[in-house]
Amino acid sequence: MQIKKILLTGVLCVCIFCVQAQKLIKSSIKGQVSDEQRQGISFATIKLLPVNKTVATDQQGNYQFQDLSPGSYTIQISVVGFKKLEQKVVLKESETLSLNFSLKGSQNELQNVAINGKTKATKIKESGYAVNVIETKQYANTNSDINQVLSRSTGVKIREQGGLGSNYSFSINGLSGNHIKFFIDGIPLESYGSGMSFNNIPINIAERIEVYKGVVPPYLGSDALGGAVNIVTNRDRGKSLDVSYSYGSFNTHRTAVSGSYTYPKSGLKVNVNSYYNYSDNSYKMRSYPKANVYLQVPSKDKSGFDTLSSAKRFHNDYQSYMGQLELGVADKKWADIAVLGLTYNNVKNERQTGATQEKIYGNVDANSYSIVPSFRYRKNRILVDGLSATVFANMSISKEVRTDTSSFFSYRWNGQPDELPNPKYPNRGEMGNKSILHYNNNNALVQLNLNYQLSDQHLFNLNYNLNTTTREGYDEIDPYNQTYNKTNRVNKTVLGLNYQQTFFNNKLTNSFFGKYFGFSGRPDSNKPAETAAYYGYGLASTYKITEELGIKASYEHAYRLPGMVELFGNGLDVIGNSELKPENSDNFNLGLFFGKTIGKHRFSADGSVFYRNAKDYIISRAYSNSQGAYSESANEGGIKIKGADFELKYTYGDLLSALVNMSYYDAVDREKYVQGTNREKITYGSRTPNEPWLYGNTDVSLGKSNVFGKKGNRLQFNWYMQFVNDYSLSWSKLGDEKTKDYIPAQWIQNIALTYSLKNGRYNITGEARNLTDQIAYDVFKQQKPGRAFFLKLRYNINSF
Amino acid sequence: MFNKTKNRSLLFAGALFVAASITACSKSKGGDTGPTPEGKPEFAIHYSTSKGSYLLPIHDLMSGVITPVGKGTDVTNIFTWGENIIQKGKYFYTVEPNSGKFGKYNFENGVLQTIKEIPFSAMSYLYLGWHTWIDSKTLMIGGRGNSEYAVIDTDNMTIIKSGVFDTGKELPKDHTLSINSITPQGGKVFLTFMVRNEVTKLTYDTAYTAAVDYPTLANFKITGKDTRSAPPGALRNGYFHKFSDQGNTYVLTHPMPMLGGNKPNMPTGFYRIKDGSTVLDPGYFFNISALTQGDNQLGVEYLGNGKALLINARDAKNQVKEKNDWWYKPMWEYIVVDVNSQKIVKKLDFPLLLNSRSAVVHNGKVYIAVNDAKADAIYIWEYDSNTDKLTKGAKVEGGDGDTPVLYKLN
Repeated sequence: MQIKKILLTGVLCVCIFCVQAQKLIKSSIKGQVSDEQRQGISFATIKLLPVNKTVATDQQGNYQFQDLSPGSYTIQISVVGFKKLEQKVVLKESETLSLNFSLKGSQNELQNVAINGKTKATKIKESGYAVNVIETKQYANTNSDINQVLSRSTGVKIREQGGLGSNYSFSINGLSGNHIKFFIDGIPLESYGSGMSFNNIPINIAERIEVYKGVVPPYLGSDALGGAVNIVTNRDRGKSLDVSYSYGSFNTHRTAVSGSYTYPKSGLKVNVNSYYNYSDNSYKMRSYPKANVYLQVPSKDKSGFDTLSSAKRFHNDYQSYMGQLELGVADKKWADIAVLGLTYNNVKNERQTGATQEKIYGNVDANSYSIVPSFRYRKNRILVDGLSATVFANMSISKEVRTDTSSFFSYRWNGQPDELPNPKYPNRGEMGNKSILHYNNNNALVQLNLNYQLSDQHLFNLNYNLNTTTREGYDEIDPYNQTYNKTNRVNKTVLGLNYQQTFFNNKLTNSFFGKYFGFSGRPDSNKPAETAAYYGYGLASTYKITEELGIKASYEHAYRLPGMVELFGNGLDVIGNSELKPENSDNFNLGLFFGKTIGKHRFSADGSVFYRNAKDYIISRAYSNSQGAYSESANEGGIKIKGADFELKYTYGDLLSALVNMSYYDAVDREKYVQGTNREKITYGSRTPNEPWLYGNTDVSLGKSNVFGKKGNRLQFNWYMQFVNDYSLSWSKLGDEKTKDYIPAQWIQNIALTYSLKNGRYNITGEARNLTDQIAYDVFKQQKPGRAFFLKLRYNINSF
Repeated sequence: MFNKTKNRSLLFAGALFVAASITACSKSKGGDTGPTPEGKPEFAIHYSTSKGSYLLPIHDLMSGVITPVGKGTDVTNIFTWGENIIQKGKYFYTVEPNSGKFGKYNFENGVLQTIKEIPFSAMSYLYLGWHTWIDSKTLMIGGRGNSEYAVIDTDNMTIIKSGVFDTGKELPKDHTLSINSITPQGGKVFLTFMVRNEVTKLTYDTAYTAAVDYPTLANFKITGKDTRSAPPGALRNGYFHKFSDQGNTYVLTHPMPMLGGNKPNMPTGFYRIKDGSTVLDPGYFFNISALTQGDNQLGVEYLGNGKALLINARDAKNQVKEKNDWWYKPMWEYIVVDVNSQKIVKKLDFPLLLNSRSAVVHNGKVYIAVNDAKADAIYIWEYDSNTDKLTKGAKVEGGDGDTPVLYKLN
């Protein structure tokens, strides 16, 4: 560990030395590229002719060319969604020319994204990190939430327990659950309280989603073992409005509104983001002998069981809504953006099943809400050129109540309980003793991001995060609850430093980073705080062999610190384990990317291989005492994962787009010896069960603009198929194969047809999910919804 | 997390890991059954790993390799809660807590077949604390940590009776009982249990006994209190804790921290209930801890003639630094005790072992799954108490932390 730290320090010193060795003479051009609302445009491509230098604008739209000889140049600026711009300039000796550009929007260009320059997605993809970037525009007219869009992506698997709003486990390249961290605009999702979740945020809120696999850039200031997902929302767009409503099967309603307006004179700005989701989730459960699934209900005389061929889910209503209002100013001397915000979200959830669909609940409910005031600030030039800062702070106050007070017991899939209220068991609830569990969770976050662009070639980023959480749990109806009422606190500090260098005319980009994780915790208010510190580090490199072909590699020694509930319990059904060590993993990625455009044809291919070595893996174990069932976290030997994925994409103008991808991984038990012995574990090196390990997607869109003899309209058809190979529920090598349970292979077909008018201002979409009504399962053989239909109306304008 | 070790055992009072291995406590006492037909396995072994469990037939305990790789029935979705397994001969029974089922299965020729499953929701908490056979076909089971019960006719697979022992005015307000053993005794059922004050959340250092009428299970009367040791019996289903010898019933107490009732100041020992009696024999207590420098023991198997095989946690007070040490520290030794002479008659000649309580008795010999941390595998050892001879037998591959459990099928 000490050696690693010294090496890391050495690498950083070498980098800094390189920076200082750069000579800053000759002439230069710099400036900012912005849209009509004077918002900086990031990742715009700026080409300087005839020297053929290309740079991209940074997050704030700034660019810079250095070391130029005096003479005549042509600047070409291209970026998706805007009209191309070209300007001639004459540069004198030792001159620093400042040139700002304002680009005009181009609605029609959306369909031609692949042809004119590189998309933001491509830019991020070529950054060296193993990252999927999903531009959500193409899904904006569908009824999808974030998870459903992400599940089309390579290396990502989202395993849901049921329909809208159900519990899910997110996996990136085989690491899942708590090992993955989620962000909205770089802010950890957990700091928004319990209600915000990828299974309820509609796609229209997002502009872009980035999935970092295994190696996470430090600007996402958090401890993530297996990767991170960052949603970039479409706020601060000046003037825009997106309103949508959809209705469909299982009485599902979804509404989303996001809008933004900046008063041109005062710079006063207003952002609104909100959504509402409701569903009965009353989809059909079915018996399926092939998967050894039988919906058993007691026979009339209760002497045995009858099997139902199908049954509707009956206690599965889900409702969530969120409102976010931001007020602030833009383009002031002291701030480019300074915004105060308030977010409220509320979730009502009926629980239908336990961890498996064998355990059926009829009256267990969970409700929660959070209130989150926030502040964010951005300034592009602080003290010196090239230094910019963003500050974010928020506080969330969340309350969650889980109610299990029914006297009916042991529900079956016919909606009937086995047991009526019985005075013999006055305290019997469905999950244990009757309870009204309250979890109060308060979280405060301060985040600072500093960027310093020393020159074209050298960029520094510093991220500082301070997060503090308190939690309290109690049972409202436990008459003897004094031992359960506990308050505990955890403070987490994450400090990340990233240095990025580019060489050889941007052909080679290297990023080196280090992360510090500071931790202090207090099991309850009467006990002293305890502290710990850990250091992570990594690098990401990309080299463009030709204009079309590049190679990238990345590595991180990643940590995840145990969460508060894992360490100290929640006072109710999770027992704390303060002896937990943080889990850590060495994550390696190697990838190739290729993109070629010939006329209207555009072809791209991405492929990668990866390796993960996760140690001191934190797992949750069920255990119980005479008072009920609990879970407790413990460190385990962990897993080793190796895998590969690829994605091929072809587009022809705005007529056709076709994508196919495939992901494979082999996660094996890496704990060699049976605990306490030097005997090899029988499952050592065996694939971990109950996890899909081979899956893929095809996604084909056909569209035509200006149909039915009208200009500005478009008809688009989409076919999307998801494949998951069969997998075993228990260790596949143990036991006679004939007696084993498998989740059968699944091929799920989805189609959608969209008709848009007035250049995408009005849209109507009809969608069919799981068209062939396949019986599809997920984690622990929980059945997912069958065939479903949705109709969505959407109104969208980008300037008015 | 903070590089500290704490004694957290108090927090886990009475708690055990589910994964702890299990030995069914009421196996048929077949005696000498003579040679078995070729190819018909007489024994079975149940593996429980963290992600799946498997039931395997064993043809030969004394040679070869027993391995679950590619063999045996995957019972992951049948025996979802290891402690709920009850075995009698070739029949296995279980309460499946998620789907609310009581099932009877037949394990023959290496295949586990469902005989019948019936809806079972007759308790508030479907995790078993004990079971006992009232007669050859009548099974009584009860919830863990409470006083709920069900009586089941296993031939017809019907629930004869279920409910909560009605203590009437025998217990003060805000007090609950948790049953540790049940013994049919003449026309009565004899109960041993602990009493808990729900206000203070404390369980008294007292072994309670009571009797109820059978089959009405009414007329609950406390018959005695005893502070020599507690809890009287086991806390979880499947822990060997009683046997009868010459008409008398012997009940092993479980004061051990973590794996028992966490009464560190109490000794482990046998109480005696004389034939037909519904009180603990006040003149009898076989204090085993007194013979083992204060160590506590767990039950393994009854060997016959008043002798029982126990496993002794050697010097656990100093050996156990953290919770996991109860399972993974080599500190356990097998001892044979005689309830009549009240002596340790034998300490089996093994090095200190890992925790395991898996053994079967056949033809007067005991076959023990011995979990020696230093050996290349778990091995079955035969111990013949008549000749005092230990013989090494079959190699048992696997056992993911837990020792696989042996069953005798006839």
